[in-house]
Amino acid sequence: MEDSKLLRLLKKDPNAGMEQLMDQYAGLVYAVVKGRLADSYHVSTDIEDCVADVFSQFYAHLADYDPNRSSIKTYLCVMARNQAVTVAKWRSREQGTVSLDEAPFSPQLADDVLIDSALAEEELRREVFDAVKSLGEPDASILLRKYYFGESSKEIADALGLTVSNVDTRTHRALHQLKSMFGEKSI
Amino acid sequence: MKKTLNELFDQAAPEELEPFADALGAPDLPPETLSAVKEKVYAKTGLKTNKKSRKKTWYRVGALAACFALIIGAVILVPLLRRAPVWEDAHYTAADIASLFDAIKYDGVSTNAYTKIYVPDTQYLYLDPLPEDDYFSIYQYKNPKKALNKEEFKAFLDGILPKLASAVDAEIPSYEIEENDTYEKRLEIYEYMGPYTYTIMADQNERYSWFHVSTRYDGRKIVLSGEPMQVDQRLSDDEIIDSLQPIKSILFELFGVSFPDVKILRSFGSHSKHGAEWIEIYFYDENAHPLNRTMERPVTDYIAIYFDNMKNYDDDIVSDSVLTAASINYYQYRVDIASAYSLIANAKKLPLEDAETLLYNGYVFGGHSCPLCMAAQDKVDFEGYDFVGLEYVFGYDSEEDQPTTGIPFYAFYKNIGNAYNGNAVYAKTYVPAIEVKGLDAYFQSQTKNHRTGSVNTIE
Repeated sequence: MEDSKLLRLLKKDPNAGMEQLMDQYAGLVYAVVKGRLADSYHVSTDIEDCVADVFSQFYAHLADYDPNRSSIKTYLCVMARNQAVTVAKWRSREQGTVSLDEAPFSPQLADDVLIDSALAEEELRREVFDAVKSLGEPDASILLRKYYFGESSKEIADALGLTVSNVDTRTHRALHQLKSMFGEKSI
Repeated sequence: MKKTLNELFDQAAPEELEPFADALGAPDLPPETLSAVKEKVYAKTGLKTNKKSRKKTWYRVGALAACFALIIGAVILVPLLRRAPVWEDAHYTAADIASLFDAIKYDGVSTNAYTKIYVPDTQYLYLDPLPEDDYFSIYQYKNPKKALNKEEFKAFLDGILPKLASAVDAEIPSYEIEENDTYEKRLEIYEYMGPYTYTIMADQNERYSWFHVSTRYDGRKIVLSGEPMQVDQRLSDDEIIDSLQPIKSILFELFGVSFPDVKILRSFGSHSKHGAEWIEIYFYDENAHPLNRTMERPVTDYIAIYFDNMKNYDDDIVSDSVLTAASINYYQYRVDIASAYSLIANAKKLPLEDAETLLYNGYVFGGHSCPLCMAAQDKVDFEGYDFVGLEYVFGYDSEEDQPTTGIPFYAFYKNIGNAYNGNAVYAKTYVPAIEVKGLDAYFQSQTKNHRTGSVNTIE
């Protein structure tokens, strides 16, 4: 269902609207949350709770959603990512000696690219995302799946119909391109 | 600044992810996982639990008013009811008039011994002098219907949207009329317009056509033909009406109507120190129906501007002076609404002194009429009450979403102190303003109904 229709339904008939919203996006939100929480100490109920929190908060703050700024899909993704990070922080604190501030916000991925730039943060994101997009498909989707959803090469390969080695090669090559653009010099 | 790609994705705003929207996909969840998530969401939000969950947008501002009108309780604490007056010739029974308040059950609102009204000044109780007539008119809403008509709805929209687009300096939004039969048959549109993302909603149901314009409450104003939609709550009602003259003319032009009368209602709460929580301004024709003089809100065509002054979210703007969070609502009835509210009887007025006898002896009506439940609330002694007014209370047909029979009640007010924000607090309770029969039988039946409640004994 298109966003405008979905919003209308949510406002006119919240029960039906939320049912439709979850049917449409629960898989996506689940994937985003799982990418952040799917480690040894996060059980499936943690993920379900987190996904439920995302939808509950979306409903509670429906008035905050601005359709001119983003689609519901990306809005939910960001909510999911933020909620999952929060849960991860609390879990880290509960299970160890890590303070809330020190808890991992972005787990370091072994082959991630470190971008060193003098640009302001918002501008840097725009430049980098444009660059990722300019890599074309399937490389852009591979990076998104790997670094946004936290999917493994095997999961990405299955989803995109590629071999694992092909995914790894493309990832390596894409990161190299990004490094050449951002990683080795300040912009 | 050193950031990993992973960190950049973490900190991305929704609009920054938009270029990747097409690539944001995921497989469907297994049914059992989806069900588990849904159950948790329903538990957290309270959805799927309300018998009547639909709330029209236009009810949003009226919710408090609905509470005033419908959540009524009383204060009377009588472990044993005294014997009630008997008016065996009365047209209505106590059970009849008590049933008017059933709406609160549908909306899941808990009952109260009395309604608390918060006002900074007694003028905002909006009390008119009691009528001196010997009889009160009883009205019944007949709920006339007219089949939905897409062409008619399109003409309604096309009569407004171009003028609105011109007034807000935006393109005329393309719209798609959709049919919806959830709870009631209706045609509807939902669009956005202009640089400030005005929300445009419109419905046609079997009774009326409705057009709504609003914006978010973060400080963005509705501006029509250069005139900002705003009101300074420090002004008197007359001064506000004067200040709204340019807007009134624009709205009349926009909707192609002209109404001779204007009414302002201000609603106050117990905590906000920013004055009124809502201000409602109605442009209407008071002579279009006698109930327009009695009811708080018009029952015939009207334009309403609602100004919200409540901080629901962090970025909501509230002010003790100029309010800008506005929505415009225009109701145009498709049926002969004047004859829909028909006069069905003239009931003999209950003299005020007889109403006071009922009040002091516990024969009061409201959320429900169980003296035991009322006794569980903080006691308010209405002896020496401060004010009394007359209000029509309409029953509510949950299926048709419309009021039914309207009965006049005396509304008694007693000052019970001051709220956190300094507003005076009045307890308000209702006694029928017409003779009714079967009072004792009804109230005794209520005590039995509530024997298993939190107060479960009666001596």
